[in-house]
Amino acid sequence: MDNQQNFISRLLKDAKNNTTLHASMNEVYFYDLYQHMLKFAQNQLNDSEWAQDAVQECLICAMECCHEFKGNSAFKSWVFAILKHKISDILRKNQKYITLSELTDETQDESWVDMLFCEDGHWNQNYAPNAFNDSWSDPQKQTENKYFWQVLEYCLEHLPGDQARVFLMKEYIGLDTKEICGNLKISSQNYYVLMHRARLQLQLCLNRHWFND
Amino acid sequence: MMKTCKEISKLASRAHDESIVFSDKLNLFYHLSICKNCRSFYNNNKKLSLMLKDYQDFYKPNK
Repeated sequence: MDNQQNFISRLLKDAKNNTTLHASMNEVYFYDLYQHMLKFAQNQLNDSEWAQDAVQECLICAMECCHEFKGNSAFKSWVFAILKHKISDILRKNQKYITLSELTDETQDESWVDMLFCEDGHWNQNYAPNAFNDSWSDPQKQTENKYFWQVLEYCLEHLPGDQARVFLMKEYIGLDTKEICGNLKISSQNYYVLMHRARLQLQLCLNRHWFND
Repeated sequence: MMKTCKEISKLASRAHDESIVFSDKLNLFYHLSICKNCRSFYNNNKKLSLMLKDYQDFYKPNK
């Protein structure tokens, strides 16, 4: 904790010596951003030291042009883009160290998936997916869409850790199936199970909280 | 043997990540042609990919 606060104070002090920061980019903002980045890095790397190093390196690098940013949400997206590349680099270089633990119990338990379907294997209509509309990508609705990204974040954060890890490695970091199975030392069967559940859960969450009209 | 929605949803998720064998493809697309919920699940997965892609590209520094 202290380590994090010290790091942030130093980061801000160095930045302010060289440039003026937008008012919204204060200590509280950076502390939240740090926590958010750390949570994501820990989920992907499964190693707190690596995660911490990755986050700090990305922030130092990002501060080099923080004066370009007039708002904190833009800065956040940019920092995450850097973090994403950093993590993809680490994952590709350290294949043998990162494995999924305690996976078998969770993947063998079908009860959550069973809840979404009736006994005959058809969708339970309370949980059946509705088609997403395209409102979230409509450039006319930029302001409204800001909330969409918050909802998406909320849904991603509420995925079980293993599902989030595999899903984000595929869809966000951009690794392919083979790389992910190799990295996590899981069979392709386990991979299919985790992706299937992550997708069911995300669709359910987004349907509930955004596409519900 | 007809597949259930539950089985089709697994196939749909897999088909999004990799190429599936021809008989699975027939099963999948036949089922999608007659089942609205599964069709939504399948199409939503494509949109999920786009969302995650847009999410990272949403803001860029104005240069």
